[in-house]
Amino acid sequence: MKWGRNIFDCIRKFLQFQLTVNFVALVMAFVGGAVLRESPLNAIQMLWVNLIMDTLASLALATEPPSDELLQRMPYSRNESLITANMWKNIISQGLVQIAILGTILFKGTEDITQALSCLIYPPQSV
Amino acid sequence: MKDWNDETGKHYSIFFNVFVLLQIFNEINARKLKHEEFNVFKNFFNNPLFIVILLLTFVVQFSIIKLGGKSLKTVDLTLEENAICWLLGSLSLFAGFVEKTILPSHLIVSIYGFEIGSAKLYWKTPPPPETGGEATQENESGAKAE
Repeated sequence: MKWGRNIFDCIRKFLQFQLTVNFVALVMAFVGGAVLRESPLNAIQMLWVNLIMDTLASLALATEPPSDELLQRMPYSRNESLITANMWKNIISQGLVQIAILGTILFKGTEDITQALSCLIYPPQSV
Repeated sequence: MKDWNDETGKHYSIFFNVFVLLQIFNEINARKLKHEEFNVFKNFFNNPLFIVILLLTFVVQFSIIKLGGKSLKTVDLTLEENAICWLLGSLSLFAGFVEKTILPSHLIVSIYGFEIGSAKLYWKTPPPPETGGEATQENESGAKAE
């Protein structure tokens, strides 16, 4: 019982992570391709991202040992969806935050990021 | 990326670095599924493989940026730039906290639409919740059997 529920939870955790990465990568590759006419991530970098999010993440998230708390909760119903409402919420909000950060870097980021940030912290006196 | 050099490569290196770091920090977030679980670091050390993989990805990512060169089209970043990338990357960890704090727990999001309390917005009719006594009875008896 414990192991079965644990595996179900592990699959959900992995899916939550996987869908977020896919969502962000897809949007950034599409927007980058459409606006800049080139993908911001090249092929080998994409391979590394894939390695992180498939192989390593599945090993990391799916090997969690079960806890006794799993026995405290009610069983899931037979037609419960694999991605719960809260997972959708996590995926979408996390994805939007990441897209905002990356989009800012991609389109507003200058070559010298440290200079740009130090300008924010110490605004230049003469403008 | 036809004219790749140290100047143009830096921007994309930072982009790539932040992208991967965001994902790695989000991996910590992904260990908790429920809205009530604010502390994502609970039982953090109960899975040694998770820690090893997390550290491994950090190290490999750092060395990709450090040693990538022309084949990976990355540029070595200075310590300051690396620190900024890490700060930006860890925002995904904080985004998880913030999202759990500000979004109400009764907001229901699914592939069928949204639902907050009594306000509902569906673009697809959801299936009726738990029709037929069979399934529920079975589940109840299963719960008792525990």
